[in-house]
Amino acid sequence: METHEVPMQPAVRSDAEALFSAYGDMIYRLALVRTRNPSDAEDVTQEVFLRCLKSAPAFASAEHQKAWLIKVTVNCSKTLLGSAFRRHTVALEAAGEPGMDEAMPDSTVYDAVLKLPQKYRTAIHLFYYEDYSVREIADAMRTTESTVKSWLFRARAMLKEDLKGAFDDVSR
Amino acid sequence: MFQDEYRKVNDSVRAPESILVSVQQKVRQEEAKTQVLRPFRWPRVIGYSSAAVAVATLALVVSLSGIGRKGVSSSTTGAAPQAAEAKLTYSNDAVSSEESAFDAVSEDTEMPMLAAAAPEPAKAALDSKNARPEAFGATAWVLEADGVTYRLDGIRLIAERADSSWVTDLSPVPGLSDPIPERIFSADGHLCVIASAWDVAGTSFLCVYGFTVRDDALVSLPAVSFDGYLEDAESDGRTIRITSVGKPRLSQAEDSGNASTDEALFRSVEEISFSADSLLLQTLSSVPVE
Repeated sequence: METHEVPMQPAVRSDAEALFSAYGDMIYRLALVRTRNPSDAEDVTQEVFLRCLKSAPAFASAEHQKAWLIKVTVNCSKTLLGSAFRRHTVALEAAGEPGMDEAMPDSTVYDAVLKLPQKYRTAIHLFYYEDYSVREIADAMRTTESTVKSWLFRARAMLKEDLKGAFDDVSR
Repeated sequence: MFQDEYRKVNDSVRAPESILVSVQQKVRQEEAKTQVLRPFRWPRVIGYSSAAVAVATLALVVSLSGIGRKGVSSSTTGAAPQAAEAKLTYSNDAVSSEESAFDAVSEDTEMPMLAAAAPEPAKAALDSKNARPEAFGATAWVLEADGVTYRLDGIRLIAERADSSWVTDLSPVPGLSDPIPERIFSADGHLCVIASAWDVAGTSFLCVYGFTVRDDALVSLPAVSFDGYLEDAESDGRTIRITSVGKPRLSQAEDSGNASTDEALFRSVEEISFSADSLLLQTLSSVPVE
């Protein structure tokens, strides 16, 4: 008996896999920087994917898609952190529960970034990791370029102080 | 440098694969909601355009004449079953009360063919305001085995041989949505279709269908189903092994003696073999997903 298989999958599932493969890490990294909590970052990442799959926007280019996903990540994490549930609960690490810190990267630089206010660390992440310009960051965070410049300036100053001059290029 | 160090750290951060699994489950649940909202089949004979005309005409008659419940009954009992089913699903706007279209027709009218046509989950789901007719995951398949060409388009299966052809559907398992084919195989003289379906709560099930051409007829074997979503399937030409992730198989749950297994996911391997008139399902292993 000859056996043939035609391994076709429903399109929506292929889309999810392709999307996750291309942008899963990017979204999760940004969500982790914004939420400072792996579980929250996973929730945000999942929500971003679901929104993308549900709305299925027509992207003009890969850059357009990336910008859309970053903007939705910023919005989703903002929604999560501003939810009534979050405002009335205490994070495990704040309550002294072990375990959460173990899932976070162990790095002085990363820790210093996470100590920054949320807007600052988001701008720093997009600028230094995603190579976003000030204008692109302003667009993603729905603010003005001058505000982003101000955030970056203050964030660099705080990082420089925290890292005690270990990394001179932080003032770039 | 700060940027180099920051990049290096971030490069080591990876999104857990569990997110993708979770997303796929949610997508399936969304699909299931849509699937169970489709309790009817479009008429095979009169075609889509005729059905659309029938629905539009019926809705127009109901809305223009302000016919109440009894009026709907009297105007639809004489219509074709397909048109009546279409009305059942899409005439929410034409029913003036806040009750669902299903309630409006099922309580006070005599439409036995509708009650028979809509499975229980579909009835429950008809109350939703989000009813949409789109079909998800429509995929066409072609497979040749033993001189028979099988074409599977959505749930419609056409088997063609040089001298004859047959048409049948993958019938939904009672209580589950329409199946969405995921893999097809030919093994041991049978065509085997592995499909996903969902219950009204969104729980994913695998449904295995078997067909064979025997005595110049296309024979449908009773489908078997079990909960979980498909991870892999392979055939050695005689049997089919299905790897799925879902609830533990009963014996495994008992063996584990762990109450928390209700929530745990297990990866199970099932073997499908064929007899003359049935599909035989045997669980080979079922272990917790790491």
